[in-house]
Amino acid sequence: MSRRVKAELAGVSVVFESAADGSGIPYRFTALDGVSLPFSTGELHTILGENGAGKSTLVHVLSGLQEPSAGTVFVDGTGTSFSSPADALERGIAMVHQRPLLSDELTVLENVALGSRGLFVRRSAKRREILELAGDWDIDLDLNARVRALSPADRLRAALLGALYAGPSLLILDEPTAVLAPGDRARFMEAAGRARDRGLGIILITHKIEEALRWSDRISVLRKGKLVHSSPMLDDGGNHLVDSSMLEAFLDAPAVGGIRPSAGPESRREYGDPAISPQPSFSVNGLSASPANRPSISDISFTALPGTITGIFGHPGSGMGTLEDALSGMIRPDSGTVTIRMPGGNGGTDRGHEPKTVALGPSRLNPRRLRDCGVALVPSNRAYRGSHPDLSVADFLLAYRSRAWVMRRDGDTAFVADVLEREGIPAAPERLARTLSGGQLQRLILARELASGPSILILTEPEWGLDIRSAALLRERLVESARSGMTVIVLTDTPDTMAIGGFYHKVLRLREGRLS
Amino acid sequence: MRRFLAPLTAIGTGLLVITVFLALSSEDPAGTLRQFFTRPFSSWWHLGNMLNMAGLLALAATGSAIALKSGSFNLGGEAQIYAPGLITALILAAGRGTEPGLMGGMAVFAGALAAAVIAGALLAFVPALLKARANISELLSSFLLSAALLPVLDYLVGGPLRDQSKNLLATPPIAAWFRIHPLARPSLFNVSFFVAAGLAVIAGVILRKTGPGYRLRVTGIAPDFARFAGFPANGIAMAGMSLSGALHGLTGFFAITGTWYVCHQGLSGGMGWSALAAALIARQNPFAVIPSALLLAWLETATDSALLSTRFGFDSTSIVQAVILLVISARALPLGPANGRAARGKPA
Amino acid sequence: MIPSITAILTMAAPLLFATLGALVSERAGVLAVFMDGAITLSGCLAIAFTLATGSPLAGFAAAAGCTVLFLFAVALFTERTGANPFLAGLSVNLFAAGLTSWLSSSLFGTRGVVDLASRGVAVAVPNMAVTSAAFGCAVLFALVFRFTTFGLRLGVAGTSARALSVRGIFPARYRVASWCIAAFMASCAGSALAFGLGAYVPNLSAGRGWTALAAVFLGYRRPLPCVAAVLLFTAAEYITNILQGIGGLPSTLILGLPYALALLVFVLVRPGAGRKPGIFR
Repeated sequence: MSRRVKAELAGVSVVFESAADGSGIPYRFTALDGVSLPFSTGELHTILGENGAGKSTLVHVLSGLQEPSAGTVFVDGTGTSFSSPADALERGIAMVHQRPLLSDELTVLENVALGSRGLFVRRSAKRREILELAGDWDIDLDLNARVRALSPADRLRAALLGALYAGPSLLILDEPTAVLAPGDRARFMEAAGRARDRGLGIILITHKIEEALRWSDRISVLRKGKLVHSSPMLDDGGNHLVDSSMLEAFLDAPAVGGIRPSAGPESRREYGDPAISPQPSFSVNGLSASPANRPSISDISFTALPGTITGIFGHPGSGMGTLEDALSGMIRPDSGTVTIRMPGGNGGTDRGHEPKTVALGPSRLNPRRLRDCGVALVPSNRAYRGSHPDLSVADFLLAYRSRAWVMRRDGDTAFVADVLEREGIPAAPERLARTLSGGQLQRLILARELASGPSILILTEPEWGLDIRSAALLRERLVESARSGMTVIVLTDTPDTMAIGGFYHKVLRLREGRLS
Repeated sequence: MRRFLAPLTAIGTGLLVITVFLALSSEDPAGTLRQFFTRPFSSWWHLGNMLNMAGLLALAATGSAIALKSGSFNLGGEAQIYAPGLITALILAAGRGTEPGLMGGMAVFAGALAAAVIAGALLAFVPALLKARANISELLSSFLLSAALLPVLDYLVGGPLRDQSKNLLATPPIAAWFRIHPLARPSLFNVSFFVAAGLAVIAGVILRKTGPGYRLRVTGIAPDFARFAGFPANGIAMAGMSLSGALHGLTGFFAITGTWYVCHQGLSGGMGWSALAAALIARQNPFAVIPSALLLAWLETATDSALLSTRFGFDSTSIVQAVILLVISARALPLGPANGRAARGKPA
Repeated sequence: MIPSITAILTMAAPLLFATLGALVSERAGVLAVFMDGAITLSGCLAIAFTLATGSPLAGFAAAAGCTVLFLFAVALFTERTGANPFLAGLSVNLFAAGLTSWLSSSLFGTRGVVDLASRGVAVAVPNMAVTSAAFGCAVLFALVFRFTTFGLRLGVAGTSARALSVRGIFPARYRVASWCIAAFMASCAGSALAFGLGAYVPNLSAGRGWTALAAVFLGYRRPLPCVAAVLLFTAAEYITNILQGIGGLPSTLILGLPYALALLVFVLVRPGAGRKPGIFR
């Protein structure tokens, strides 16, 4: 097939800078640093990188969502500046997002029709065209289904149809296999390969090395915003230019204590304190919840022991969000009980010295009661639940000290300063949370939760968006906490990042709302 | 200086617009404008009345500010001033027999105050409840409730409860004993101004320095965060609105006992909207409510003075309120909770 | 019986115009708080221009033009500055109240009723034509919503604005367009009311803007059910008028009914349940 360079990034950098807030400290974050890359038609080009390496930013620049701070984007040989994604679409570059933005109220057909020209919506004509496209990609989707009712995998397919309908030369796919069931992934990638054979240029974003090796014609690796490698898979003689160990090396940052993410199995290892009580401190029984327009969970039961780390793994769409919300009391479950066994003396509040067991049914399960029972929660939604962009650092750190009548006394000021210093974050306490990076925010949230002296710590996707170093630090923190007797429960959809031999004592899998 | 830009622009634009209207309505535009700027300060009567009005506005505006801080808009200020005012006038009406003794009198006075405050709080509590239970916007329900109630109150004051012995559309006057006497005759300026100022300062201190105040503020800025941290977010929002209504009720109380001594038709006379405008100009900061209310009271008093010298009268208050509300609402507040549901920490 | 039905149908025309305008706006995600003020303002302008030009058609056209322009400006301001749309709408209502009193006093010398006939302008209102136009609009809107790209995108601008912006379509344009369409429909309503009376009266709309909003939600935000809701409300108004004539209800109290009714509808229909309030984008 003929390949030609359709688009090219030349020395593109993207720097995010937040306006100075009251503290006068502007915040700079370099998402992309001088990246130059060509993208051709008839080629499957994979962009590989860790979370936060800049992959999404790169394709956002290419697809017109993000303006580069420096450098140029060339399309068909001409330097271009996209004013919007529609602009890019007109030039032949389409993108399918990881969480596609579709209108829930409309059907699949109507969503595809949104972008079309013409005054009238000719449904039957469009239907034929779309069905043809669907056939090419091995997609079986009811065009009359309302998007609201679709699974994440089907939403992806609907968005894909919308992108293909525009007849692009370059198609960007952002981690498409993340929402697909393992059995469907190969089929999807094969269909992509066929489209590539027909002349489409495909740009695949992924953080999975095996995927990149298996399907790509060309691999580029990003690390911390810089391009560290780019080459075809095979040279002219048909020899492999890249293999998995090379890629792992490219992805590695100077590791802390030589810890590397691996895809190996999780094995158990005792953390060594024989005095750990065998009694579960946190047990869930028959928890079910079915919120509107979200995956439901049914009959979730598990227990967790003090001094251990329990992991619950699940793919997006398996009900992780619902489980998190139900466990933290943010939505009301249909049924089930959460039983907490508070140890004597050092529970969440100074409530007597006797061990006490509290059972919380659906009507009594809310964040306040959980915290009273010594449970600390680190949410997946750091920006709006763990904190808020418009709150100052002091404001969101002092949340649990607000039971007092008078606040902002010396004790509070000292607490805030202490936390900031320990986490190594240079900031005036009045600085707004929006100026902090994801990693900084996560550290502060964790510090705040730990400061309340909980006996149970539940974290959801804590490692998301953290670079390798910060993830390693987090791991150490959690191991420490477990060693000191805390019950740690981690909900995550990317188990590979944390599961380094023996991190988890117990592993449970969440599949389609059920635990196994 | 930048933080004063929005309030100053709002006031400035309002000033500009109304002076244009006044000039267009007058045969002697220069003279009318002169009246506009000088008359409010020309005598103690003018100045005192202006300060009195500012006090009432400040009291209600503190209420509006508290509601805003807790994350809600209280748009029912008109009825929350009018209805408690009517209740006050009824309870304290003269001609109910002989003058009560000191203890009895104080009890009745306190009773009227309590009734006014509770009535105002209730009128604001209902929209808050509807928001918590049925997710009905409190902007809509508080506005509609007030708008539906105002004609009823007008009807009562002009009909069954009217003082038959006079030709005014008003209730009988309150007993002399209950009247708050002016401090600086011949104007109406009385102690209610200082009560308003004091309450504004107290509100500011509570919000900034106390636990409950912190929780109110945080719930207003970040409701999801507040819930997640274990605050009773719904209860706090309802408390914020109710407090707001209570302060409006107190305003109605002082309007009767300190300024008019009767409840006349249209008692609230746009005070509810002016109070909201004042709170927005003060950027919901109770400490800034007093200067803000003074500015607004001056603007309205000046307009009224100038109207006397124009060829015809017109509803100038509405125009001023309209301009100020529009300009100040420009990116005035985060529009309710920014939930960011799509962002579970990940880009959408 | 027939005269009653004809009377109700004729009476329904202004409210129907207003409801359709509020419907377009609501689909785009903007609660048309400004309807009430727009109706009164456009009615006043229609009378003023008719007196000036002698032609009701010119009066209507000029009034519509001014109203649309005015609301276009406010909508643009709201979008550009990120202002609170509810407050912006309320300020339109307040401004309309003030401006109409000023216009009335300065142009007509009275803050009361401005009668066309006594000032030498005769207006023969073709009731059937106006009513048919109103119902015709309802059908037209239903078709536009379902079969045109514009109608499709309008609805999406209201529910998932980001789905439009990633496709490079600006939802803000649709919102501003919806303000303008609503303004035009408000002018139709205002002119219909004013010419029907043959005069401008203070508070011309008498809360119909709010009844229109209630009709939108009672009609589940679809054009044809909205027509049914409008007919229901108009029938109620007809009965109220009869009762008032008999002397049963004081006129002051009736002024509050549109607001009470709208509140009742919102509480019962609960448009906000399960999603964010429509006022916030």
